[in-house]
This record gives sequence, structure tokens and C-alpha cells, in this order.
Amino acid sequence: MSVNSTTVNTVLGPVPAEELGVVSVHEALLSVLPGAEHAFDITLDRAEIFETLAGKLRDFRAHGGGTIVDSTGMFHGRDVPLYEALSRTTGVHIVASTGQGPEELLGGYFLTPQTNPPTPWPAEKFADLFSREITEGMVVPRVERRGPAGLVTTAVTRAGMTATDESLLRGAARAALATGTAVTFRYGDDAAGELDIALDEKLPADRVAVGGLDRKDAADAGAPEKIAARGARVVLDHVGTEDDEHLTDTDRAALVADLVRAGHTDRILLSVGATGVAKGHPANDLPYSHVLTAFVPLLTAHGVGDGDVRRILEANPRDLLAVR
Amino acid sequence: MSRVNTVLGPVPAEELGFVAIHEHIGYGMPGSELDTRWWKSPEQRYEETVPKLRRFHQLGGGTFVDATGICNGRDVDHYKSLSAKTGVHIVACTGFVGGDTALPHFARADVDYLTRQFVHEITVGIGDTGSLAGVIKVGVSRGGRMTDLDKRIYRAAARAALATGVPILRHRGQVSFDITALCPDGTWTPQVTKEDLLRTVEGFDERLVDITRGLDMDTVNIRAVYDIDPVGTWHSDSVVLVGDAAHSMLHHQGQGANSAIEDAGAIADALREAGSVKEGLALYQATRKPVTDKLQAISRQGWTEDEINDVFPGQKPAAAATGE
Repeated sequence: MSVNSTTVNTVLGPVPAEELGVVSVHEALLSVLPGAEHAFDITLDRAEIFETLAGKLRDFRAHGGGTIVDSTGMFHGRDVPLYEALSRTTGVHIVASTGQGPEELLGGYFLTPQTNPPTPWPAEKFADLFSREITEGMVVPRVERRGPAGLVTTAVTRAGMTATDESLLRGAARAALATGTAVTFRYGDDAAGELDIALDEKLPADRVAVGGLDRKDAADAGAPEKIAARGARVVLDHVGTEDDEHLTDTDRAALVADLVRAGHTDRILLSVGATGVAKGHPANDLPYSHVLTAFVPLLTAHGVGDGDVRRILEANPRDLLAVR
Repeated sequence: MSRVNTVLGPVPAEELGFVAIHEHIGYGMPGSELDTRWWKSPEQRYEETVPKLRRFHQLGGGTFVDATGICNGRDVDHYKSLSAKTGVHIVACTGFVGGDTALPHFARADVDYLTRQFVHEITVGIGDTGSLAGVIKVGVSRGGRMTDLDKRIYRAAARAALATGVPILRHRGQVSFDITALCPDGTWTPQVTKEDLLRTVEGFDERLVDITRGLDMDTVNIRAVYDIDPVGTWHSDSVVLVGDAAHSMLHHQGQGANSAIEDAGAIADALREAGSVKEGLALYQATRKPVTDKLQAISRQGWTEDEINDVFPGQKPAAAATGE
């Protein structure tokens, strides 16, 4: 695959794609369950949040990390001015995202339309909302717009795609197509079927990244292989998480090795899915550096060569994030 | 309770003056803050709101109760400055306008947590504003049927009200409407099925037919309505009939309550004009009875099968309408 000499939208402005270094594409910086900011028993101490996040970003950088993508979208605690200060202070590139979802995480504004009969917010309106965050800048609600978002993100309900989820996914795909940005989504219960929705919007497959593919149910369904075979990006975004729902790191490494052997190296993306600071929901406290410190040695042990590892950690996310 | 919590601190109830009990300084469905079309600059907000509150105050208004619940753009710091500069007491609320305005953090919460949120905002403060909530807002989600979340919020509000002595303001969130139709079943509560109702509205505007088709019959009250024949004499020398006692009519012209109010005005005028009570009552009947006789006749028009075409052209007589 050729590497276009293009730029990536970070919170401090466009950065040449080749400067990103090792990228983790599905992480969270400040992650706030919508509504938690109003809770009587939750405090948001910006100085403390900054210190915690700065420490985690420095650790990532110390272990060879270059860029963190906050892929939580526009309505889950995104704090663009804070991320700008963090990036300036730590030297880690930060890419923030637009988008939101799944349906359950939306505000009532998007769910109780004043139409008769009530219909979900149409894809076109979501596309407009998300596109403006790229062409005009990300919103600091009711205050101002800042720099452009670097990624469009959404998610599908785990129990299955709702009508609003489909609007979100189509809207995200249209925003991506219109702005040259990539789209990423956490799949619900049918990774391939949901990918088809995004592709139905004429978005090239390699502009779509599908997250959650290191869930056991995804692996059991052969979803990583199917997604890669369609030319989309496979995101194993819970590296380090070993629970009832997810593969162990050993199985994850075996999955990566299988995909590499099948010729899908340039489709693979890795991420920890860490939450730097979580408010209102349980944190994933793993360090952003876990892929570099713990998982890369496992890949090596599974026979994945250094060149392929570099490709997965640097070239693949660079191709995804570079604005076309 | 002799104290009322305003945003600038507790005040004696005696100081409230005229109270506007259910108002909004600003209101937005949660998530609308992401859509710049609804944004207003602080300059605009003060420019629009200050003159309105000042006018309210000049006309004798003392207190403004803002019923904008948690997650709906409630902005207590803004209210504090408005209150201080205009002299209008402003009471802020805790609670939710409806379950569909509660963001996920609260939508997932149980009654106990919601109770503690409300009590905290009443006794400790709303966020970090230091202001105490003076009322608790509750309401039913759009669609008009109580959701499980609505019920949890109502219970929590009741518990918080009991614990703190602060009252509840509620929003029904419902639209009710009447269908009045001929029915051969003359009992107080006729048995009518949805199919009967659909036959009744057949030929009406398709939107009305759709509403009828979508009715949940568990929420439909079916009651017979009755009127009386005009009464020959409304008064003795010292006793008089007014309202429905004098001229009960069917409701679908909307003249029943209006006629009662006009009766009251006519009695006052007649007693003032006449030389004695007896003459006054006679004058009242002479003034009002010709009018209400006519209204009674109009309201009854259409309630015989040969007149129905005048009132509801193209509709079928009672037997056909109920399919018998």
C-alpha cells in the first residue's frame, strides 16, 4: 500500500502523517458517561484529571508511543482544550474524534424528534452534525468551535442495530466520505452486516475500521477474517483485557498471527481501549503502553516479524487517519 | 414551610409576592448543546432575558420558578446573576422534566440513587453553585405513557419531597383528545371496540384515522354524554339555576363552561340593574335563556340520525357506525 504524503488532524492542528509514530487508535482520555457531569457524587477536578492523563501519556511516550486517538466521540467527556494542553505538555500527538453512539448513549435531543410519526434523527442530519466538526471545528458546547476532528466514530447496540444506530452509522459514513476522514465503529452483534451499511454509503472499505473484534463472540463467528477479507480495518481494541467477554492476550496474539499469515497484515489495528480517567463508569486502567510493553513480545513469540509489527503499529493507523 | 430556596439563598415565603410557578429561562433537550443552531452568546442571552424579567418585576411579579430539570440546560449561575440584577426571586429545581431527558448516568440509576441526587441538590447544593433547589420537577416521557424510568424518578421525587419538605412540580407530558360519536348503547359506559371507533372515523382525514388506529384501548375512557331539554323557568323569587343545572348541553361546541361563566356575568349585571332580587333574576333569565336555548339546540343537532349529515357530512347513522 502506498503511503500518501498527507496530514492528520490532531488537536494542535494538521500534522504530517509520517510524524505520528506508534498510534493507538481506540483509546479514551477523559471518559464521562453522559449525565455523570451533573451527578452529586462525582467531581471533575481538571487539575487532577490533567495530571493523571499527562502521567499516562508520558508513560506511553516513554515506551515508544507517538499518537493517542481519543475515539469516544463528541458526547462522552471529550474536552478539546484539555487535550490541547496535554498534547503540548507531553509531546504525544492527540487525535480527537467526532460522532456518538450507540443509541442508548445519545441525549434526548436526538431521540425525541418533533415529527409525526416520530422517526429517528435521519442519517443526513447526523452527517451534517459530524461533518461540521471536521470542516468548522469540534464544539465546546455553547462556547466555541476548536480544531477539526481527526476521526468519525460511532457504535452499534450490542443486542443488535437499532434504527437510530443505523442513522448514526450511515451519517458517520457520509461525514467520512464528504471530508476525507476515516470512520470507526464498535460493532453490535453482526460485524459484517453492519460494515455493509457503511459500505452501502459508498465509502471505500479501507476507510472503515471495525472495533470490538477481539470479543470472544467475534472470534467465534470468524468476524475478524470476514472484515479483513472485505478490505476494512480490523481493530482488536481490548488488548490486555482478559475477561469472560474477551480473548486472552495469548489468543489475541494467535489471531493476529493468523490474520498476518492470511495476508491481512495491512488490515490490522491494535489498541488497549484504556480509559485515562473514567467518570460514572468503570475504568479500564491498563496503561496505553500495554501493546508496546506486553503484547508486542507475544506477537514476536507467535512468529509475527518485526516488519509486520511496525506496519500494524505505525503504517496502518497512519493510512487510516491520513485525510484523503 | 416558612423558607423557600431561591438561587440566591433561602427567603421567607412571605417575601415571594406574585409567583410564576412553572417557567423556563432557557431550555434545551440534552444533546442539543452539540448543535450550534441552538447556541446563544452570553450577550444575546442577557439581552433577551433581562428585559423580560424586568417587565415581569415592574408588573408586580415577585418570584420566577424555573422548572428546567437536570440535563436540560439548567444554568444556576446564570439565574443567580439574573436574579441579583433584576430583583426577581428565582427558584431553581432539581429533578427531571421527564425520563426521556435523563442522560444515561441517571437513566441507569435506581430510586435510591435518584433520591440522594435530589436531596443533595435541595440540602447541599446544585453542583458547585452553592444554590439549593426549591422544587422537584418530574414528568412523563414523550408519548404519554409512564416508562419504568419515569416511575423511578417519580418515586425518588416523592421520597426527596418527604425528606426535605420541598414540593413537586409535575408535567403530564400527555395530549388527550375526545372523539364524540353516535352510539346506540345508551348506558353510562358503552362497550366500544377499536373497530367500532375506526368505523366511526372512516372517511375523516387520514391523520385522524391513523391516531385512532394507534390508540392503546387501555388508555381510552369511554363514557356516554347526556344533555337536557330546555328548562321553562330558571328561577323562583329568590333561587336561580345557572350553568348545567339550567341548560346542560353536549360538549362538542365547547359552549358548556363558557355559558356558565356568561351566566355569572349576566346575573351580576342584572342584579345591579334591577330594583329587586326578584326582578333581577327574571331579567337574568330573559337575557340568557334565548341564547342558551339556541346553543342547546345546536349541540343536539347531529344527534339524531336524520341530522347527522348536516354536522358530519358523509358519516353513517348510529347503527351503521357500530356495524350492527
